Amino acid sequence: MNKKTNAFIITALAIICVLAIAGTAVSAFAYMDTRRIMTAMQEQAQEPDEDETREDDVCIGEEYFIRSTTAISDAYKSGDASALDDRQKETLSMASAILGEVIEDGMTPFEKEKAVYEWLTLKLINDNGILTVIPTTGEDRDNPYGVLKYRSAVCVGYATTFRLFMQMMDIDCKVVHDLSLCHSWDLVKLDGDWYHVDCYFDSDIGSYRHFNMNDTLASYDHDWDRSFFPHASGNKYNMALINVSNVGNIYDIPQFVKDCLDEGKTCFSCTFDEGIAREDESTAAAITSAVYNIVSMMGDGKEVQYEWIRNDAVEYVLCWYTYSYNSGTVDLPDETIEKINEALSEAFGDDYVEYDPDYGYNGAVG
Amino acid sequence: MKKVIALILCAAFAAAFAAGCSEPVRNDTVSMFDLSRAMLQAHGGETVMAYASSSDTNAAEQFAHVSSIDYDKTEAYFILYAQDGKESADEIVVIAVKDIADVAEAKQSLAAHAQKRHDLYAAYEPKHAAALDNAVIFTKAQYAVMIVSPNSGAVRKAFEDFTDQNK
Repeated sequence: MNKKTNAFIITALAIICVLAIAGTAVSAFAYMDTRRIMTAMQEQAQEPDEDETREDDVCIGEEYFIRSTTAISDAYKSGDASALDDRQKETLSMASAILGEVIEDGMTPFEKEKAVYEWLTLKLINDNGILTVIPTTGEDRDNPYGVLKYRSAVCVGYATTFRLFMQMMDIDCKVVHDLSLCHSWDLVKLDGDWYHVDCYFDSDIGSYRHFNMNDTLASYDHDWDRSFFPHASGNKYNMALINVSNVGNIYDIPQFVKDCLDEGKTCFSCTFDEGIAREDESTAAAITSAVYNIVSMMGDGKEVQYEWIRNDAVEYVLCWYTYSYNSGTVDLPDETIEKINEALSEAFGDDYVEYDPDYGYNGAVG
Repeated sequence: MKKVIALILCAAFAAAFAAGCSEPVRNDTVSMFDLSRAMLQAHGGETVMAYASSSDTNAAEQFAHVSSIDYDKTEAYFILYAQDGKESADEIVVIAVKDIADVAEAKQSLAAHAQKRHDLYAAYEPKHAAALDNAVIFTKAQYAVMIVSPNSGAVRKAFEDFTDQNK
């Protein structure tokens, strides 16, 4: 063969080699990609439908899981722990010991629930790891094992531990989660009525602010799938409504609040013998706001909140520790402002700060 | 003999060519640590900021907390975040992707992350949720950036200056 022919053959062989190797590489990548896609599809098929609401096996905050603990509560009620694994047995032992401490013979379900709520909100440390971008929270803060062993919990830990205690005492209880899968709390059933309980929000203070709320109260800072979870309409076991006092009119609010604070009360409420006419709602809101500002500046370390709600008789009830309504500022007549300042001065004396209608928040009563 | 040698050389050349057809290795991604220091300085403030990056042992696991893109698509990253999430929502994330075609996806993942952080703060610490509303998210070359800072303008400028000066 001549040189040209040799060169042609060599070039052709080189091209064939290149194409063969390239083709092999493309096939390999395509195969790997197909496998990756198929694996992902299989994994997705095994995962539960994220759009379907359920109580358990829900991931909160992309980190914490709500898991059932009925095996433990059933073992407690039956006295037979043989089916439990070691970790469940340890959980049962810790939970039983705590119930032994806080529950007394003869307690009603409400009293038992209250005792557990007080233990959870005052004995545990509120772990805020859920808010850190890369959580430093240790494991098991989202289940009763870790909560009871390490005495630290995130919201899921509070909720599942509260539910465990309730189920151990045969009190109906469900763990609820919000629509954005960021938070969880409980629904508990007392005397046929459901109530919301959020131990996490009341943690470290045990104020009862989020204890036994109906749907309306809970909706101020919670949202949930109402088509799935039971409706909570009870008021009977809401602490603010249990401890309600009566005052004459809205100008008695400052003195009432001052007296309650002096007595060391942390949850108190009042209704109004004279009622609150619609045209006085803004005035009532202004007074409450002014009292709130004064108490907030008193610097005694207490967290101040208040709330206007309606009781079963559809009366206005002012509860201390709550949200405020905010429908914008309202212009009040000068004589009304003067009356407000007189009430504040009489109640708070030297601590009195003149009501300023232009100062920040001015919530409405409604 | 010469033909055999020529064939072998061709085969070797083809193999080398095929081997070279792998993912492009970027050599223009700046030091994540140095960049983070420049941006942190611009951020200022008193919030204690923790640092996580692609240099860490558990880099992939950490990365998953801020972005849903395939970690294999990233060249490098860093995250500066408030050590106490209850005190502040401040956060600075820079992701350098290997293939610039993936930078839009990285940006989208940061936007989704900002939304999740907003929802979380809205549930637990509403006073910090507004900071996420003001998050600055953008891309430049192979970088996708998210800045949650009261000094976001200065932090962005620090990023721009550093990447321009250290190409």
